[in-house]
This record gives sequence, C-alpha cells and structure tokens, in this order.
Amino acid sequence: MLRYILLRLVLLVPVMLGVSLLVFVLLHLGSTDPALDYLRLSHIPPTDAAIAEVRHALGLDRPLYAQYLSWLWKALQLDFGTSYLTGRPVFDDLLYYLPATLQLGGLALACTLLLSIPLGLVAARWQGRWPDHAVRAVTFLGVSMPNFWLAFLLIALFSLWLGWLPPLGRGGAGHLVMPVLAIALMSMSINARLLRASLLEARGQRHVTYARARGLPARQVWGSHVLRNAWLPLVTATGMHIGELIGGALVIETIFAWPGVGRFAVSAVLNRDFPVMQCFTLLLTGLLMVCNLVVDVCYAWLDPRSRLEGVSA
Amino acid sequence: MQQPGNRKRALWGLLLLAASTFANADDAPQNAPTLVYSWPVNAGPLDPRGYAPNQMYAQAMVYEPLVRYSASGTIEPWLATAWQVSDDGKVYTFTLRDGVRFSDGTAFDAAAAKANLDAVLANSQRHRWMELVTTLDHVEAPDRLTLRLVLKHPYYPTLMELAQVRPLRFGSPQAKPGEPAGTGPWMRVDSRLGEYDRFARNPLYWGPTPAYGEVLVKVIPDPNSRALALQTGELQLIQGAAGEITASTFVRLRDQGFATALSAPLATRSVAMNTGRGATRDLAVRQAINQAVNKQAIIDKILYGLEPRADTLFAPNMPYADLGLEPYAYDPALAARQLDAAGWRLAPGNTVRSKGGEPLSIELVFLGTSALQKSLAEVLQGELAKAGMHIELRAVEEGALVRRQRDGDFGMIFADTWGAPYDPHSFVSSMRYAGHADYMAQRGLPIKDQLDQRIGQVLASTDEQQRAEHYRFILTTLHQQAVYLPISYLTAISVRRASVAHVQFGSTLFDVPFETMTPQQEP
Repeated sequence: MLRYILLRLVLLVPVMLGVSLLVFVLLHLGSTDPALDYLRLSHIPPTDAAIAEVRHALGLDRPLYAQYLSWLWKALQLDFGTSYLTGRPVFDDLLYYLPATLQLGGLALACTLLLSIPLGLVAARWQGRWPDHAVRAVTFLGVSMPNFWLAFLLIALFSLWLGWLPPLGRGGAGHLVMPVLAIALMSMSINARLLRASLLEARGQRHVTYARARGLPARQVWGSHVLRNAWLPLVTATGMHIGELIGGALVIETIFAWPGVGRFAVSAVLNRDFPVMQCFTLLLTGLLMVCNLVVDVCYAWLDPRSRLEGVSA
Repeated sequence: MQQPGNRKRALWGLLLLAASTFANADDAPQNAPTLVYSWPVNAGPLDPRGYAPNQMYAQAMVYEPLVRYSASGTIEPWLATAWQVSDDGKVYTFTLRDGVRFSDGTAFDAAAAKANLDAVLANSQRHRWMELVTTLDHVEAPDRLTLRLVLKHPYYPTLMELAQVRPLRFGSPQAKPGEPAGTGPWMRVDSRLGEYDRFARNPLYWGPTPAYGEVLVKVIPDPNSRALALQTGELQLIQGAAGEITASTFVRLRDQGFATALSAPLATRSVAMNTGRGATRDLAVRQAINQAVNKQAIIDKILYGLEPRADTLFAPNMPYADLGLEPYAYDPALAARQLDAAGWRLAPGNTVRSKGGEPLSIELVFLGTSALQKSLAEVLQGELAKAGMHIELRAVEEGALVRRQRDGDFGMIFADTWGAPYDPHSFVSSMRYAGHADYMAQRGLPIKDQLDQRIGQVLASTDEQQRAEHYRFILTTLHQQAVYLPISYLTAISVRRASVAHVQFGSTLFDVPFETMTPQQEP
C-alpha cells in the first residue's frame, strides 16, 4: 500500500511538468497580449512604443522556449515569478489567499458530508414517503440551481430583507454562512441523491435479505450491511466534489468579495496575468491529484477487494 | 483499520476547525465618521509615479499637482499659487504654496518638487507616453518657493498634463518604502490585501479639513455585489466612471429612492470610420451613416438614457470644443437621398446598395468580450440595414482589436476618446501617429497632411487665439469629413445613501473628491 502511494506521488512530477508546459504554450500562443492589459489598467495609450516597452519589462519579448525554461528553473525553487498586475511574488500571494479559500472549501466540504449523509439515509429509509419526497425536492432544486444565482438569492433574503447576515467580506461566523451554503448546496444535493440510490441498491442485495432473515435489528442491518456497501460511490463523488468546490469558489468568492485564491485567479484570468494563472493551474492540479489519491486510499480502506487489486497492480 | 476513538478525534478536529474559523472576527478600528466606499482591487503601493497596480483614485487622494484641472476645463492654482510662461513658451516658472508639508512632516518646497520631477525624467522611457515628459528638458529650483520647468520646445498643454493624476504629482522625498506620504487631504493608514484600504485625514493638510475622519475602501470586484452592499448599508457610496455598476442597476437603485447623480460629459463613446478603405472612403457614405443612426433610441434602449447624446467628437464642455458645429440630424430619408446621389443605389429586389458592382458593405470591429459594444454593434447593424448598408460584425479579442487599429484593418471600429484631462490635446496629438485607430481612420482624407501640421502647430502654439483657431480648423474638418460617428458622452455615476451629503464629481475620469463630502443623519 505504501509503495502504491509513493508511486502515485512520484507520478505527480511528470503530470505537473506536462500541465505546466501545456498551460504555458496555450497561454502564449493565444492572440492575447498581457502588455495590452497592463497598459489598459495603467490608463496608458497602447502605442507601439508603449507596448514594446511593457513587453520588454515583463520579459515577453524573449523567445518562448527561453521564457518557459527560465520560468521552470525558478518554479523548481518555488519562485513562480511576479504578477504582471500587482508586481508581487505570485507564490506569496497565493499562499496569502489560500487559507481563506481552504476555510471556505473545508467548511463547504464538511457541510456537504454532514448534510448529505443524513438526507440520503432519511430518503432511502422512508422511500416513497414524505421524507423521501421532501429530500428529493430539495436536492432537485440544489442540483438545478447555479451557485451564483443561489448566492444572490441568499444575499437578497438574509442580508437585504431580513438583515441577519453581512452580504460580503470575510470576518466572523456570519460572513461564512451564505458563501458556504452557496458552494455546498450542489455537492450536497448530488451526494444525497447518490447515497439514496446507492442505499436502495444495496438494500436489495441478497446478503441484506439474509441479514433480515437472521432476525438482525433494523439498525444493524442498515449500519453494517446496507450503509457499509453504499459508501463507495459517495467516496468517489466526494473526491470529484473537491474540484467542484474549488470551481464554485471562483465564482462565489467574487460575489461575496471573499479574499481567497478563487477571486485572485478570476482577476488574473480577466487581466491575462499569466504567472498567476500558471501557478494557480499547477496548484489546482496538485491539489486534485492528491485528492484523487486520498479517495483511492479511502477506497482501499473501505473495500478490501480494491485494496487487493491495488496491491497486485 | 481505524478505531472508533480515532474517528471521534477526527470529528473533534473538524469541529475545532469550524470553531477556529468563527473566531476570525473583524477587529478593524471604527473611527467615526467613516465614509465607506468600494473599489474592485486594492489601492496598490501608492507610488506617486507608479502605474498598475497603483489605483488612480487613491493616488489622487494622497498626491497633489502643481495646478488643478477644473470641471469646466480650466486650470486652477493648487500647490503652485501662481505661474508665468516665458514669451517663447519654453520656460514655466511656478510660485509654490508656502507652508505645505507632506504627511510625514517633510516640507514641500522647490527642492522636493524638483526631486520628484527629476525622478520622472530619470525614468523617462517609462513615462514617455506623456508628451510633456519627452518635451521637458530640465527642472530648476532657484529658491525655496520657485520652481522652473524648461522645455525643449513650446508645448501649450504643459499645465493640463501637470494636472494629471500621474506621474507628475509630488511624494515626500523622505518617504520610507511602504509608507507613502503626499501633501493631499488623505493618507493611507491601513491596508489588507484583498479586503480593504483605509485612509485617514492628513493632519498636516494645508487646505480645509475634510468632514470625514476616514475613508474605508472595501475591495469588491463584482458590480452586483457592490449594489447589494450599498442597499444593505455595507457601503455608503458608489461613484466612478469605470463601470462600478451597470446602467440597469443604476436605474433600479434610482427607482428605489437612492440619491443618484450623473457627471458632466467626461469622454465620448464613438465609432471611427476608415477613410482609406472600402465604402467608407466615400464622404457621402460616412455622412449617411451619421444621419441614418437613431442615437437617441440607442441611448434610451441600451444605455438606459444615462448618457447624453453626442453630436461632435468632443463634448462642448471640453477646452476649445464649444464650436457650435451643426449636428448631423437623424434623417434616414436624407441619408438615402445622399447615397442615391453619390451613386450607391438600391437595385430592385436587393436589400443592400451597390455602386459600380461594389456592395455597400462595411466591417464593424468590436471587442467581443464587451457586452455593451456587442449590443451597440447589433443596433448599428440594424439601423444601417434600413438605409441599405450591410454591416458585417466582427468580434475580436483585445489584442486583435489593437492590431486591427494599428494596421487600419477595419471599416468601422469603436474608438472612445481618452476623456478629461487628455481631451482634446493628447487625443488630437495621437492622431498624428501611425498605430492609432484615429490616424488609420483619417489617412484617406485628402487634407490629412494639413490636419497633422495643424495638430503640431496647436500643441506648440503660445497664443491663445491662434490655438483656438487651430482647434476650430481641426475639429471642424473632422466633423465635416464625418470621420467619426459620435454616439454618446460618457459620464461618471454616483449613487449614495442618505448618510452622505455634498457629493461632487471630480473633474476627470479618475478622481473622487471625498474631501468635499459630509456626513449627515440617515432618516
């Protein structure tokens, strides 16, 4: 198992290299020019001379391969360059904004798990009855509603009409409620529906029928025989949700003026701040790969069959 | 296999993480009265000569110019109380205001002013977009309160360019890194990346003390969130000319009872037509385009009636631009007659006019990422189709847009003027250089050489009357030749809660005069 984890961690290196090269090439081969964005934001007329001056200052006038190699050499030393727009070290800024995003994403993930599991259980346990209908209605809405729309609805309700919660910014607990809800609702709804379906499937298995026939109490049948087998799809989905949560953070952080990595990245994309985009993409790639690894390890822990396959592979 | 005890510990860990996040309460000091404003990004390092990420609204709060540009387009004394221009127009001698100090206590005198301007000259490559920087030969400080600017050749917009927000304002030569100090009414006292910048009154300010003790500028990038923040009271003021909120949101807030205001025209939203290529080479076509577009309908339907209709390239409140030029009135019938007379005829069964086998088709290039330009382009297409003109819409990225402007690769292209205080002199000056949409648009004019000569003369002119005459020639020629389709005049918007009074607009696109605003009781 340890060997498998180590192998996966080693595989991170070529993947990150490949992603960095791909992103670099895609960014630089496009028709966009960061020098123009710099001039626009500086309110300097984009004359040929001004564009050439900025391109030189940003190092964009060097051959592409030289730019990449120089970037790579520095990146290996954790120096991801300076932002075209802020002039500050990119890695430092990302680290500065990361805790706020982890706070939001971590709580959203916790909410997803803490809410989706009871909801899925309730819906499956009382299938076809009113708790099931209620859960399905809520999760149907949650799956269908875009998070940015939900965010504005929440602000309108809790900040504008009721005046209970602050509409934006980072601060106390009140600031967290709406962004966390807006990010988590979709993942929570997907997980709840998935768990419900998977529980219903597991409930029909023969070993569950035998467990009942053996006279085991319902609590034990559900806990040890149904739920245990229904976990696996949920683990996979949760791994995928981490990507969705970060994607959600891109939009939600902008709406709630949340000082996180997502908003920083959105601003970088809008203004073609290549060093930030590159570093953010790598950070995201690394994060998602580690999450996938954690999911696989969880799988192995929960399901002895896949653990054996993993080892033999 | 994990034991139940471990699971419990993991759960407690999760709860502690949640609890720790709740502990991060806002502990910023609240010194009343504070005016709460917002901006999409932080103010930046506040270098008096720095560009992005330094935000101009903030530089204008902290740093002051020698002379100030007024809303009526005139120049007022500021850090200089008086000035003289030599007869040859090459030497500007300023008398500096006595008793002015930077917020760090350093005296503002001729030596400090010279140090600032010398720093600009030492880095002139970076600032050469501003013509005064390339025209300035050297700076002298003959005594404590006298500053002399010696130019290489006469340049009349010297005072206008000295009034701009950067790079010719003054920071303390003794300022420590990270602690910007200017002579302005405000100084930054606190900043949190991605969250806010806090400005406090400069206790050493030479002018009237602002009524507010602090201005808190929250970082809010999203226009809709900004509007909601105003509605909930998180913000007291939304003001600016950089799309702070959309036109529809402005109207909604106005209808909800918020106090709103629009500034005087600050720049012009216009479309440049290529006189050197395609159907727009023909004066009759360019004039017909000006007559066939119902600008008022565009303003009412797309711009929510918030921008005044533009009939000339510069608004009459811009310097030298109040010339009484006769507007091209909306008259589709006249446009059709004019096109017929010029040989652009509509064959039976056709919807597009043609002349000698050449269809009246024009490519309109716009920024694909701008929803507003897209809407405007579509309406122009529809309006001109009624007159028998086919407008081919071409959405491009910003880089491609600049390349097309530079290469003259367009039939029509959106080209707003630069706004106060760049209009008209800087904008007109740029018309002489290849690489600008305006140069490429005008190059087909038979009198382009003469036009460029007159632009050169107006910038070097030392005689006020002569200068006005040059401008009359330049602007009248451009108007009569219908090189532009002016649509509307861009304005700054302001929406405020009732707790803020005496809200005024700055005289340029970039400044917000917080120092004139006063707090009042919200009913």
